[in-house]
Amino acid sequence: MIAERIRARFAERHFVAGDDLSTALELALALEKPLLIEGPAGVGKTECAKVLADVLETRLIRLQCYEGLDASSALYEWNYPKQLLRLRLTETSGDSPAAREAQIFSEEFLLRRPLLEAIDQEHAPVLLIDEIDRADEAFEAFLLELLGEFQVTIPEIGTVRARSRPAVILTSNRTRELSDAMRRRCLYLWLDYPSRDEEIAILRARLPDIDARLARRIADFMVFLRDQPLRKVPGVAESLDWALALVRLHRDVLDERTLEETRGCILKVQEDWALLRTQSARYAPLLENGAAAAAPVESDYGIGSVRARRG
Amino acid sequence: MIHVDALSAQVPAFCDVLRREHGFTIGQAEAHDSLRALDALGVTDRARVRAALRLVCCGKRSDVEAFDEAFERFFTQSPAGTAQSSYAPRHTRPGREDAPEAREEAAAVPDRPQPRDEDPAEGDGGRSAERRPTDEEREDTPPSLAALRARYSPLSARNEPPAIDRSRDAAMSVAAGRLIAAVRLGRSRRWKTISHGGRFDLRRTVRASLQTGGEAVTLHYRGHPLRNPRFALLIDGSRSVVEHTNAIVAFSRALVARSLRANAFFFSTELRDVTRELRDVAREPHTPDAGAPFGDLGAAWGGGTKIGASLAAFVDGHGARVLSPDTVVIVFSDGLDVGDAHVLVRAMREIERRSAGIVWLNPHAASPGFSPTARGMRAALPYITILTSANDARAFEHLAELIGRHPRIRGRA
Repeated sequence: MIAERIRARFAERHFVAGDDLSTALELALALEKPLLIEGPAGVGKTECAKVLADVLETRLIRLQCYEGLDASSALYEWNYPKQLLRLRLTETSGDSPAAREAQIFSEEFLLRRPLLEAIDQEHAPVLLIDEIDRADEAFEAFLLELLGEFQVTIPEIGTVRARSRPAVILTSNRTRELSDAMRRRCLYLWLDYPSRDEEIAILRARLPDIDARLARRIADFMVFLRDQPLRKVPGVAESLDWALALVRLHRDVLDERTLEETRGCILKVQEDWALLRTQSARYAPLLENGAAAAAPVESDYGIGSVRARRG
Repeated sequence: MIHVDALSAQVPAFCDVLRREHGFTIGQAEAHDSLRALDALGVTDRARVRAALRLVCCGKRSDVEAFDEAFERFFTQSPAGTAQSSYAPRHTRPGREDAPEAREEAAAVPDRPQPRDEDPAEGDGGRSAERRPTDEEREDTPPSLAALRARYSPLSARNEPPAIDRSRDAAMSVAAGRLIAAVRLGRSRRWKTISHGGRFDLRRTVRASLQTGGEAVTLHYRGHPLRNPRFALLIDGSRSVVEHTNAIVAFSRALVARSLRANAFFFSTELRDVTRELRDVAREPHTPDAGAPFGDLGAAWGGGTKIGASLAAFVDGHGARVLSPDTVVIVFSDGLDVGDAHVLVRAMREIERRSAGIVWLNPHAASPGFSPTARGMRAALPYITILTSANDARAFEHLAELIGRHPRIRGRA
């Protein structure tokens, strides 16, 4: 089955794709429809497009959306200085105005932006339209033609049809509600935080030398954290950062002091730090207790991997 | 397990159920895509069939839960061909009321298996209590069910949904227009062709220069257009203020009718988005005896007051969509909160941080000698930009002026 293959090839690239995600990707490829992925920040929405391009051995064309993004920076733009120059140079050529107009509005004067690039490729690329919710409604409406028909209409030239349909992935963090018209053109996937076991699998895939027990501790702690009313709930990206930090610091156990020192990896708002402090009684069972927490401060004397106990 | 031969008929029927009974916006295209999806994925694995149909039929996160349940019911408990009639929906969107017929049909055929939960108090009690029990169910109905039904009945006096006073439509519409025009938020970061912009619009300039032989005589400019304000109206419908709500409900109807960027919510002990209902009312012609447009508001109208919890629900459930630096939040409440003050403070702080400002309308603010001493009012006060009252169209026009002049309600771009 293709889903199995996608999952296996994702695994080769250290990306753990759940059942839902691999089915979604398979279906998006089979039906040639765009896939809209929504979900909290940091669950691997963008990453999966990158890995997909890698798996399909094709180009990834990425369009990062932002407020004020418009067709001229996303699709195409005319090369105005060149057009003006050409007009000046052909001033005395005696061509009719219509002929001169046709000349300067030809492909030669067209600047291709990511979207036009994506549908104009010989070998179908992966097109990632990232954080579509950041662009304004007008841009979203403009995308409809592209996503529905895989074609673009340039008034001066005509309709450009895709030579090979790109695999399109749209991501959204839901800072703005997308229109129904947009949703209808896409397959929809809600990508949630991974379960405890998936998170362990992700940690072990991305950091092969992590201690199995530490990975379990981290996953347990993340499950606890995501249950709290935090301002900014940490995603998988945060738990990977945290795990990497712990590995780099040679901490094999997760205790109160380690948490205190490395909490900046997972909680990025001051209010959340305060909240965590008030919850210490509840997360205490998730940490390693006893001697490790009470031990005196260790120092590596600046050498890095040497560990010696002070005093 | 799913039978392959029946499937080609079942899938469109299932899409039909989703559309009619759960209010999904899907049609022929989705039914067709569903079949294509199953063709591509195969039908041997139930989980994959469900995942495939979910990908095609769902459009947003709130659809997913309703879909899963509908899928379970449709493909598990009913024999082929009888699916729609023996099917009792639970996650129905408000405002789509073709569901009762389906329920009546189900009740008329008592020997068919009834796929419903037996515990009426579980989960969304309001909706499960609203369903009609079949005859044999009715006999051994526990008294608590009857009590529950009375509690959530739309006819119960203390839970009467708000009527919309259409006699003041014109005046309220004017006031709403004033408010929209009064809020000035500065300029957006988008580039648009405007007559006095700061940059050349080269595209138009080059086009125009063709007429003059390549000489750019007529210049066109681009610049940043003005930001359009958004509005969020949060209306307290608890017993203590319910008699003062006529004007604000009429005003919010006028505002959502005039601006697609306005959203309205009712809250009492729960929060309910009523934007769509208000907008539907606005579209209908003015008839004096139009029925209640809101359906059963449940705990969102006429009960006690949990301002903090309701505002927190607003931030969590709708904040991402409704709150932006362009949003003016208008709260109508007397501040008599029975909930935890900390919850209210946290919600107010969050709303204040993510919006252009909070206008709090307290129906008692106009009375002489008023001071904001109610517990909820005191907690919310530090985050309020404007505290006032408004109880008729004139007052709302005055409010528009007040907001327009206020130095803190400005764009933050």
